[in-house]
Amino acid sequence: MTTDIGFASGLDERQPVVILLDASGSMARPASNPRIAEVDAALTTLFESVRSQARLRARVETCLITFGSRVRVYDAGARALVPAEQADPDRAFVPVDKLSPPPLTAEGYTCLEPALDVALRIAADRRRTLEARRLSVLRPLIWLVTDGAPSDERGRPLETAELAPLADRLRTAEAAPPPDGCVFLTIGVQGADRRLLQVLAPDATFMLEGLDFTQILQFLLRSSDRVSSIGTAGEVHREVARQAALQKAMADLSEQHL
Amino acid sequence: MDERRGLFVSGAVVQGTDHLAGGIGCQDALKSVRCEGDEAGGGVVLAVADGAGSRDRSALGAHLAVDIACRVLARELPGDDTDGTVWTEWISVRAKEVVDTWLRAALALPAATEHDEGADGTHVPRDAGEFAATLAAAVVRPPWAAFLCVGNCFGTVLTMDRDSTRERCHLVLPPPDERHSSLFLSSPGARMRVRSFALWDPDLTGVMVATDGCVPLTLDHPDVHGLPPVAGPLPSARFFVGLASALRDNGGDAEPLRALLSSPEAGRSGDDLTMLCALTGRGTRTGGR
Repeated sequence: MTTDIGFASGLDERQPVVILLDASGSMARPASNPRIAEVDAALTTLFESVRSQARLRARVETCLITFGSRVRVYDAGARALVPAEQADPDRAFVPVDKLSPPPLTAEGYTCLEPALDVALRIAADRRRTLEARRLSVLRPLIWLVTDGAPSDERGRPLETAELAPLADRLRTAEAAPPPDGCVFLTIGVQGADRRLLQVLAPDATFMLEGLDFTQILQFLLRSSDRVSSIGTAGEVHREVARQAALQKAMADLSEQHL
Repeated sequence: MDERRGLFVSGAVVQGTDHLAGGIGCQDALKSVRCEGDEAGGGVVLAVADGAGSRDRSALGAHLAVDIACRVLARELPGDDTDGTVWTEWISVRAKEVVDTWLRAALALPAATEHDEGADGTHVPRDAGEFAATLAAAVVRPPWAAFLCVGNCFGTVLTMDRDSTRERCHLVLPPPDERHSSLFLSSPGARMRVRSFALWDPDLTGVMVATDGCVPLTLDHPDVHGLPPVAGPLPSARFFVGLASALRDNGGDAEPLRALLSSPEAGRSGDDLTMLCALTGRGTRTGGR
């Protein structure tokens, strides 16, 4: 009798990641080096890095949401960005291997609030779906990538004070106990208004340039081995900040000495 | 060799790819001993332990755990002709003894000597959590096998019906649903939460215990087999039966297991990988050697 040895499947721990991407008109500037191109390049690097690492490839599942005047969700079945109200939550999260988003275009206003609503809802739905399948799932990670100029639906820029209620909702979502809860980070692209972004994520606002997404994911997966359950959102924020500072220091050193 | 009772033992510990990348040493441990005394009839003890990832001294806790489990479980086994209640009671008492002994040993170690002042001026050790580890152990003496487990290690058995050439695997000690909390030997109430049981099967051909890093590599999600989530994880026959065949072919040398757990595909677990098997000579073989 001949018996081959093979591995099992389907029980890998899951890490949902929502990439909430600002695709408003301001992201098309400056024309010589548009911000959206910077984001495109960073995402390509992230996806390649995840694909190359067996543990991340098996566990990370990604949902891509873009927003300008309208919110769109990447539908893996249609291989297209579809209006949020038409998005099927079960097809919104896909392994990185199956994520092939179309080229991103930037247009319209920066209607952040409805986009965050969609991101929070879709992340919570996904976590519940995975829990119902009795899978081990880490708290969804929501990355807002933006130039930090949110507006209302008529294009009027929002003041800092107007963002406070939205920030409160984010803190509540982060603090929710399992099976709810998420971790929210804002990532600013070149020229971002960091002061505005820090209203949304006081301890978790970073600049895209030089930030290594893969290391953040590795930390999150390691955190699941901890004695005292999974780390809090605050712990994740502090670790990401530590890693971002380390990466910047290394980059500065390289610049000085190489 | 008596194919039913003549057991051989194979095992391997492989450092997790994530531990390797993060500069974290291997925190798993394994140990196996023969049961004491002639009357034991060729029984063996298998023990695997997994140190908690975030605790610096958990590897020591894991080594303590497998050592204590082997010492406690290798002596004074019930006789072959006793019934299931005797074995069940025996392993239940021994399981609590393992937890108690581990806790005493951990608290006696220097890293646990941070202490509070007791009411009578004595030093009360504060915490054994620095050594936090999970443990699974089995006493294998076909047709009997008795298990104990603290935390998320797991165990399977192999059986093969008389006159059959097909070996089957059964997840008798599933990993618990610990999505929102974890149990370690150092956890409050571990003594009361230790799982133990005994089984009797005249067709028993093997027992395997493993640490939780092996879960995604060896257990299928039920939907892989068209079953609902409530069915729970299922042991992969491709893995367990295939591995048993390879080990028998290899005369018990653990190289096929080590190679399997070191393969690039196994890297998707990230965690340390530890598996320990006791197999009878009766069972499937590939016929390769």
